[in-house]
Amino acid sequence: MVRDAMLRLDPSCAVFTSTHLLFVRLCLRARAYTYALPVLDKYVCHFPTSTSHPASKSSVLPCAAHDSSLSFITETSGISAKLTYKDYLQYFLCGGMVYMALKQWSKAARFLGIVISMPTVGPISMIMVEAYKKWILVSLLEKGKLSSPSNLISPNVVKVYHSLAKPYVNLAHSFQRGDLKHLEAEVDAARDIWCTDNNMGLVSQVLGAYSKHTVLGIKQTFAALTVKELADQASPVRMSDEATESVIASLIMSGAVKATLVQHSSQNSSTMLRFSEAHSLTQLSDESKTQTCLAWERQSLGTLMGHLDEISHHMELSDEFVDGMQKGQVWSNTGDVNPGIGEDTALEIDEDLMGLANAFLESMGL
Amino acid sequence: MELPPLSTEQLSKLAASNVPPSQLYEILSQYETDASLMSAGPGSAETGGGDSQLLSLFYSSFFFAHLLTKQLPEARALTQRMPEDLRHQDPSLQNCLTLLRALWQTQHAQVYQILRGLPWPESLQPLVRRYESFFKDDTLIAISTCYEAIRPATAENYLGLDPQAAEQGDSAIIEKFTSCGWTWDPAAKLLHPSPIAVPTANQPSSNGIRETMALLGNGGR
Repeated sequence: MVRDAMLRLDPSCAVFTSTHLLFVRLCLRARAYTYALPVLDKYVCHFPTSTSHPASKSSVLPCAAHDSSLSFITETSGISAKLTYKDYLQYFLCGGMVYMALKQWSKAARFLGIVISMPTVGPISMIMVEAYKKWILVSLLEKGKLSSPSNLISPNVVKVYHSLAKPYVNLAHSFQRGDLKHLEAEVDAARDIWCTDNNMGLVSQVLGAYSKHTVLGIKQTFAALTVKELADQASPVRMSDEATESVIASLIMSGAVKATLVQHSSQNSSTMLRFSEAHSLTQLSDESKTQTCLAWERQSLGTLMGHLDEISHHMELSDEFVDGMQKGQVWSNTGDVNPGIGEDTALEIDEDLMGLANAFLESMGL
Repeated sequence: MELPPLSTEQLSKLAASNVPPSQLYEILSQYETDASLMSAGPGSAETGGGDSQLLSLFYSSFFFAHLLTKQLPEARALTQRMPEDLRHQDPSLQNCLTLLRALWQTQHAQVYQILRGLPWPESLQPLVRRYESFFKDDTLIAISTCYEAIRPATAENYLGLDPQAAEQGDSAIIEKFTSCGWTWDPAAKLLHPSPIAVPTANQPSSNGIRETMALLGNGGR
């Protein structure tokens, strides 16, 4: 009901409100993860503005026709409670946790990335540290390695993150080294920490994902090998060939590993694993997936650009305004004075425009 | 659209109907609020009231709707949303949990055993049979791209057929595979799967891709 009300009031869900946080928290607590997706899958691009634009009273009514929900979701509209930066951080942390529960790792990483790259002037928030710990684990689950943090995070903040999340960083290094015994030792040594941070479930999944990433690592070296050879290479714990084949078949069927299996007529001969994609249909299916992804990206990019234009307009950074500023610069260079606009201001705003656009696109993962 | 109230008859009708899985999921998800209120209210399953049969049928049907729409993590979350007492006591929900475990561990043979061997309520039977058929088809598509050559016994294991009959080269069983486009090598006694194409709805046009690249190229303008 909360979700339907939110989507009815603002179908784009682009203006962040206190209801966003309340709703995602409720979904997380009730373990109703899928219910949160229609809201989480939409980009948050605005905060309720403090000043409403000159408009007639009727256009402020939510039921009137609006170009943007920003015109009626304002600080004074009563639709949202007063927001703080912590609300924003918590929304993205909780959203990331919803995606984690659904094993949508790339979306979870994007949400957590927004939290950890929040600009700070003083000490970093504990919410950000918590998000960083989860972000490390999600990186391992998604890519099998510790991703480099966004350029938006200053090196000093990265150092603070590293020192506060040391066991997580050590775990990631053990995972990347491909040393299962060391990895298991790291998991055991910091068991209390994982439990205190409520990350034990994710850490267990990291251990489970080890075999998948080991197989992917072996793919870099071998074009084909038998299941028996793979078992010798990948796992110090000896499993039966049949069990190993079953694990590999599950990985291939789930799409995690792109390879094919070739059995022999005799049960005693070990099955061959080929990493080349023999089936043209597999390639076709991959192309079709890419095509769907591109279509989705097109849609979201179009939406984002619409919102970016809106932000530019509200911040008086529209193309027309910048053109006017540039003209102002020319006038000031030729000795004319353009009242109200100084040269420095124009340059600063020009730089701000680029910085803002870059930061915005980066935060949206584009 | 206004739905009829949540009742055993309505759930049995839905289970027996042939509505597409996504539609079935949507309908049942709209009933979840009613089910939650029912389980929390007086005379509820938690307090040992008389609605436990209805709730059991609802949660079991909703569980299968998740499986039919391939939402395994969310099906797991649903099992945690069920009223705790009911989850521990109800045989149908216990079967759902056993099935979930087998699916989570990708134990194909066990999945067929659970679907066929465990006692499921009569009104849930159509959904159980429907899921068995769905799981078999889905696995057939998966092994057709996973294996280049496969022994009949392994294929039988994945598809829940009789492995002994396959081992003996039962022509009826081999024919089942060859009818899907697979080829049979009688000398090597191996099946060579041929990937099965799955038609995808709403294929984006090449114009869409062109537009995306243009958007990326000019910063979205």
